[in-house]
Amino acid sequence: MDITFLLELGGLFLTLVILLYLIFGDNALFRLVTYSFIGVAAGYVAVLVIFQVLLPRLSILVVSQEPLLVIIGLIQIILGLMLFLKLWNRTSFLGALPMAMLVGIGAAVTVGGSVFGTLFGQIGGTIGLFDMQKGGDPLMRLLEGSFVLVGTISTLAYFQFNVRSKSPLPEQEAKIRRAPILEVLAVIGQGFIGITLGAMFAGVFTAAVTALIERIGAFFDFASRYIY
Amino acid sequence: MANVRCPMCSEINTPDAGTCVACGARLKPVRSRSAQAPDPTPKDDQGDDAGEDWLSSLRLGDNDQESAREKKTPVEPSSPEPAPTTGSPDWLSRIRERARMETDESTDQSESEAEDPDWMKDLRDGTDFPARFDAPVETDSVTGTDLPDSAESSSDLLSRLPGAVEEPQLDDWLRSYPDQIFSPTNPTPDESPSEAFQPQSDQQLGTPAQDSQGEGEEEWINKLSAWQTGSTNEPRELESLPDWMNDELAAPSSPAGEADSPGWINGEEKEPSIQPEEDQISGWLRDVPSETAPDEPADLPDWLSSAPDTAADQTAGARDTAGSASSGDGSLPDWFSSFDTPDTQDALENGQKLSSDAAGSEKSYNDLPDWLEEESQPETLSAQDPVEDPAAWEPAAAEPLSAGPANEEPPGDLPQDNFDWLSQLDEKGDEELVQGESAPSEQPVEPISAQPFSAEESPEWLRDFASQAPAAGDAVPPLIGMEESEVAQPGDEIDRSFTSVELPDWLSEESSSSDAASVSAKASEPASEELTRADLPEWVKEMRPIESVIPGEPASAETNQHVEKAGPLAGLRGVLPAEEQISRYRKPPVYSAKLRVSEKQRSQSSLLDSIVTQESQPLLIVPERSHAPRVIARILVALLFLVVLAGLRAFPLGLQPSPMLTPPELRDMFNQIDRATSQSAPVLLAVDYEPGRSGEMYYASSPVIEHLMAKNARIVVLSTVPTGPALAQRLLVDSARDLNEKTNQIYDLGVQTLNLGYLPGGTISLLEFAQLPSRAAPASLEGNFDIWNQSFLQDVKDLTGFSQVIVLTDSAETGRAWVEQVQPLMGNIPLYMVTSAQAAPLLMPYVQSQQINGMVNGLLGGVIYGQWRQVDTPAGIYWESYQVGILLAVLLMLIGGLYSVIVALTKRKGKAGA
Repeated sequence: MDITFLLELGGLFLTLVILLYLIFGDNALFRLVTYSFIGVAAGYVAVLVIFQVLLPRLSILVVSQEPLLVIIGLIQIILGLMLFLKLWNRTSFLGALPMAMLVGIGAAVTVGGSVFGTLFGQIGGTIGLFDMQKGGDPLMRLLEGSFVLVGTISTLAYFQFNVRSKSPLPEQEAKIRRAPILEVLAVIGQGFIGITLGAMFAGVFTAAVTALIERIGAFFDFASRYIY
Repeated sequence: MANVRCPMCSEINTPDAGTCVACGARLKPVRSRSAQAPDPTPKDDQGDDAGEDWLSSLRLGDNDQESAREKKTPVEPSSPEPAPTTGSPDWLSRIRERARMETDESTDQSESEAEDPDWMKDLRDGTDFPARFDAPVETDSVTGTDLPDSAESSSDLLSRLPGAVEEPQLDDWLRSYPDQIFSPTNPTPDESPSEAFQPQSDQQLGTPAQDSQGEGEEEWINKLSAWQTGSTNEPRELESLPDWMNDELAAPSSPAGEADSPGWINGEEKEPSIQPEEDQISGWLRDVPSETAPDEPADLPDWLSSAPDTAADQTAGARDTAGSASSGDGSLPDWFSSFDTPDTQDALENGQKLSSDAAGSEKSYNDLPDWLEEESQPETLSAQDPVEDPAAWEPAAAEPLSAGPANEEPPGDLPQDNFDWLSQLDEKGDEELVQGESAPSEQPVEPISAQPFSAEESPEWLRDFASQAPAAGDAVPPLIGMEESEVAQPGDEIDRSFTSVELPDWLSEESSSSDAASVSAKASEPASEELTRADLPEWVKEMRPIESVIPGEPASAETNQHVEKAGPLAGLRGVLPAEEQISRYRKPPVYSAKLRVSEKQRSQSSLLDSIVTQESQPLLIVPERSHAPRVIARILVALLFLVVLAGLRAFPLGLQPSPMLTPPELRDMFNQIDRATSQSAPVLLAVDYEPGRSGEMYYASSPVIEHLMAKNARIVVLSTVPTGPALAQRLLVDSARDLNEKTNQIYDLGVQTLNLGYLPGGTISLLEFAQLPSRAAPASLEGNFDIWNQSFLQDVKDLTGFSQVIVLTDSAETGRAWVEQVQPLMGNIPLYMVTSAQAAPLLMPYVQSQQINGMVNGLLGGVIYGQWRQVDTPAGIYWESYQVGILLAVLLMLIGGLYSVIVALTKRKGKAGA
């Protein structure tokens, strides 16, 4: 018996157990499969990290002739050991340094990437829609650009919550409303946000239907391969 | 009758009780033999008469009296005294003469003291009588446990008597007594009263005598013992006896001669169980003076010689009683203690206090040689046969009060004054004393324990005794000075009459202190200013409230010190302050019943009221809807999807046409991949999706991978998720297999592909990898560290070394990270995305901004990509199911929405109708 058959058979069994959630909701078999998946994934990650990350880097530190790599490797090992000491309360403070480095560096990298990769990129992309020199129908590009611009502005206007209160009444009693233009843009932005969330939901639903189709196809493939 | 207190344990017993209910001690004295055979000779318990009787009997040698004494000889220790005899002895007269001579010669006191025995000296020096008199004497009314004190006081009294007994001579005739008689039971001053004195104990009767009289007494007691022994067993020892004793012994003995001998002498032979001390003491108290006096008149004290001759006859009859009293003491001879104090005389005369005096004043018998003083009126005392010996069991509790003053009187006063107080007492008349009215200034202290034993409550024998006392006794002025006599006030007597009542501790303390204060205060007052206290009947006294006799006024009387200042009652104290109360009266103010509440308080009260009201109201329990419809609907929807998708998979209808859309981002991507060749730079394929999305990602990416494999492009696989390398490996395998199945093209994965494995660090590592790929991913998944030196990656130094970068991701964040971190460093290298349908909407803006050059979106993108390649793709197989499933989902959502609208409208109509 081919090992592939056993693996595919096990895959089918686990798939059926997961599908029972549709009928019985949260049940023991569903939890069993879920925990099994998490356990297997964790074991796989551990093995992967050991053989894919730690050992190669340690071997590089040993066999490397470059002092810089050795120093960098020692720093990595030391920081890794300090982070490992966070498992114990008495020595957890030693892991604060590598954790601070990770968080700080990660935040800096993320912020930098978001500013230069997303903010400036999206601004440039929105502006680029009005580039009539690019191919295509200029009117359509203008409409498309305008639509994207309105959508972007209206969505940003929807998240504008800063207003000035001119009412003599207390804040609890006065009806604070944004400026009319902001209110209009907010409503338009609310529409765009709704469409975006709808698109995301459709994408999630589509992805789920695709997964279900893939699982149903796996049954048919298994049956066609080993039964028929 | 009053209750009788036990002499042993102080337990209160009924008057008719013979023995104590608590300890079994005998309460009533044992009757002597003389009780059965009354002596025709009138007897009295007055010591003076008794003393005179036995003295006379000794002198005259009356056989009848001796026989009568024999009958009265006590068999038991409680009544050791023989019957007294009447008649005044010659030796007594000689003693008196000598005493007068010595008095006339104004003999120096020091000389007389030199002749006194030591025990008299000791007693004479004693000055503690006033203190003991002032303090309340805790003396049992029956037993007189305070007898040792009385013995001391009597010793003192005797010591103050000048020339009482010459010490050397007494020692001589007492020395003849065997030592064992006195020595074993010689009490010490430290002994407790109960131990030192037991009325029926012979042992302790003799011990005080040794203490008080000292060696001199022992000496003549020894002589007496020797005489007794010689008279019974060894006649040869008679030589050592005094002459007068020898004469006495030489006289023909009567049949009752043996009985005439003291009881203690008889007891030595007949009753060995009886303590010899008592017998001996009583013996010498009875017999020794009568026998020694004629031979040694010079040894007698002056006071004895000064006594009238007639007193001897009167006191002889009362010797038994006195001797019994002294037996309780033991420190004094009977002829000493038999003489009552003036108090006792008063009590005898009154007839009311006699019983109490006899019961509680044993000290008086011992302390005061009243028989000497009472010789001035011996006729008034009617000697009575002491059928019962009350002194044998009655204590002398109150006697120190009367005996104390005598101790303070200078010893030499008695002889010098020649008993002037006796004459004074005679002058005052006997009537005053007979009536029982004792003048406060003159009458000595009343016995403390006299009150509980009234005439009505006293025993019959005691009442008889008391009834005869007034006729026989005469008032005897106290030997004590005026100062001490004033101590004993009638008021004090009244207060002490309640000492038998068991008062609380605080009350008794206060009473005692106030007693002392009142006594001292009254002592300082002149006697003439005192008023004679009314004599209340006993039954009236008993009915008095205790507050009337307890010193001190009620606190309320002291505190009520209000003095009226106005009106007819001005100046009076303790008047009710009615006027002030009236003046203080005012019309009461009128207060408004309306509650003044501020707005804040009102709001708070209303809030509290609402809270309380809400707490009292029951909560409305909204019935929960059943979950069955939801479960059923979920099961139905699930089954519907399963049936539709499986049916379309199993039985494709072919109703759904292929997509005709040509997304621009997909077209650019397809064109770029189509230009890739085996000689071009490798393609970086990032597999960053989770295993759960592997099916969708497989349908979306398999056409792209097959396209790359079809172009024999070198593929370098990298993953930023841990499960990415495995999924990438499987994706490559499946794609190579599908390519082989479709086009029979073999794509060598070992040669054309390189899996760099997992890139740790997430988005952070992407920046490093974008800058220096060889350092971020130094080794392949297989552990090859020389990958960056091999020909596969020989030209790759950074991301620009790749021909294109294709990211397979199911997460918009992962795709954005690639765009944000890697895309700016890629230069002109295109970045393509193969994403899941759920991440495509969020990554589409990057496609619009040209940050992502091309993107394959889910199953739809894979199907379109496959159409462009004109090959069958797995996505194409499930396209119909996919389309039907999406339509079914839309349909279900529409149905669900419509159902919700209908339900809402129905509820609204229902509410409107209601």
